[in-house]
Amino acid sequence: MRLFTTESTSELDPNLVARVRRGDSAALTAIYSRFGGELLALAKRLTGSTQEAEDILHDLIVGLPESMKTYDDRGKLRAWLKRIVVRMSLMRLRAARRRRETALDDVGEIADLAPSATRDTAEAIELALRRLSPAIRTVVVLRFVEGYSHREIADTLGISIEASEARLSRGIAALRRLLDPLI
Amino acid sequence: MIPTLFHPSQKTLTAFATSDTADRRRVARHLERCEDCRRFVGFAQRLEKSLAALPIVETRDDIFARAITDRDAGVRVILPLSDDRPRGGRPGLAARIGGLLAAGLVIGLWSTQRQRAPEVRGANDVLLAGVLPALAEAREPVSLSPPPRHSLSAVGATFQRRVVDSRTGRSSNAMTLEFRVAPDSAAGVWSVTTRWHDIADPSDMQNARASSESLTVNGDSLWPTRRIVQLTPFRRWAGIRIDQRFRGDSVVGEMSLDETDTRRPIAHDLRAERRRLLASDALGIVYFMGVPVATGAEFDVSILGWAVVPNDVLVPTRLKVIASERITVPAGTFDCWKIAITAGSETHFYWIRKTDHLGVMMRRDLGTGRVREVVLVREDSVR
Repeated sequence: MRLFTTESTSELDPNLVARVRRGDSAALTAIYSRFGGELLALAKRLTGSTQEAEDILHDLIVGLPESMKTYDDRGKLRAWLKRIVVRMSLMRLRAARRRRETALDDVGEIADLAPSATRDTAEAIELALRRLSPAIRTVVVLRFVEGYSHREIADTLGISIEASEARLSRGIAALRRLLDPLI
Repeated sequence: MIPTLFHPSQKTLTAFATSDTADRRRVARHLERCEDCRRFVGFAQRLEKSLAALPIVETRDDIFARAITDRDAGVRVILPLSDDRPRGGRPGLAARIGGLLAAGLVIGLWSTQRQRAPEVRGANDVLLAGVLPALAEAREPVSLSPPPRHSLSAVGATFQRRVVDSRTGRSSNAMTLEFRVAPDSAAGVWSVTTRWHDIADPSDMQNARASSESLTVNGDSLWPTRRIVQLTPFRRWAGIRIDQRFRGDSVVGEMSLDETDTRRPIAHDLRAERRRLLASDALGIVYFMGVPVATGAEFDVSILGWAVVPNDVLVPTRLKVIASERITVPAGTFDCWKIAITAGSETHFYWIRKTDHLGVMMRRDLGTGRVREVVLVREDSVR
């Protein structure tokens, strides 16, 4: 799974984790500057909502100093942060499912997705992802964007490997209908 | 060998495309003959490559600033450091119950945290936008005294909202508010209407060119019976309408986006706010009418937002009379009570005229020498 193998921490302050644990705001700034964009993108792709993603990033920063006390320094910080963001996103998706909510932010974007000369491919892909159901979108994002294996997806989502594979193929078929002319 | 006519399933083709299958030779033989399946596999491979190359998104400084402000104010969030659901296959009953309890606990804690630290959006950010801070990290206020008894009188007033650079004296982002309070046809009920127009910078108002609100409230308690908010346009939509009805101790209603089928329900229990609910921040202008005021007096209110999303339902706010001052606004010079408005960790200021307790100025410090003001420009007769 890519997220466990691509991290370079050479530019990070070796005392960063200890400083974050103490609640040092400069250390939190460093974490936010370094990983905030990736974490926000991940949360946004999983939840399909900018608002939810920003709330997740906000909550992550608020809760990080206390939570980091359990972080094993030998691990990869980016991967650890991403796992937390994945869990936070899944919890919000489950809560939204119980409330049967649709994010207000996204109502219009979903409605007006259409390939156009002015929309770049990355933007079209992001919009197309939002059109997938959360269950399918989650598998597509974890497999293709984050590089999880089906075993890891199954463990994360509490589903079988077969279900993960089936959701991925349904996701590809759905995205093909939306994006085939573009990619 | 898989004959051409009997296509592999999409799941098999997906596994082939993503190298998740050991049965590659048979699928490859089929693909040599089948253009449809080749296209599917080709798309899957291009999609994987495209998704893996998606760019990261830009973060906004205010998310981080809000998080640090919340931490400084004592807010804490328990992060999910381990999965809250059992791994592998279908969970057993005990495991499912345990998982649900754990998830419920963490979600409950988050939910509590969100309620304590809502970002003011929707109505509270759109209407006076000087009464409340943009970020209201709200705590449960201590109830200091019984709710005041109000005594509304008819008001017709025009306010201007503007941003003033205190270093240059220049003002910008102006917009005009028409505010009117009048007795309704029903006994004891008052009608309150607001209308924003001449909005210089729509981005300041969620892209709205016009915004209006109408409320009916009891004249003594300010308890609402109906509230309708409309913005045209709203963000990227043609417009939005919030329709709130107050039934017993609850607010129910609906949000709808103009020219779409989008509807979202509104339903919240307001029992706990029975004695301090303010159905709109616009009511702040007349909140003190008929209420005895002296320096040091404190009032707790819970200001209702649009109540469409969980973090825009109620903002606990404290109003404290802190001084007596004479101020000048375009409508004249008035002896006033100065009120500190505290929502969460931010405090802003509000002046009410001593003669009738009408709000005549609100001021919010935006930092870097900029101040957002809402000032009384003129009073009109109300028939």
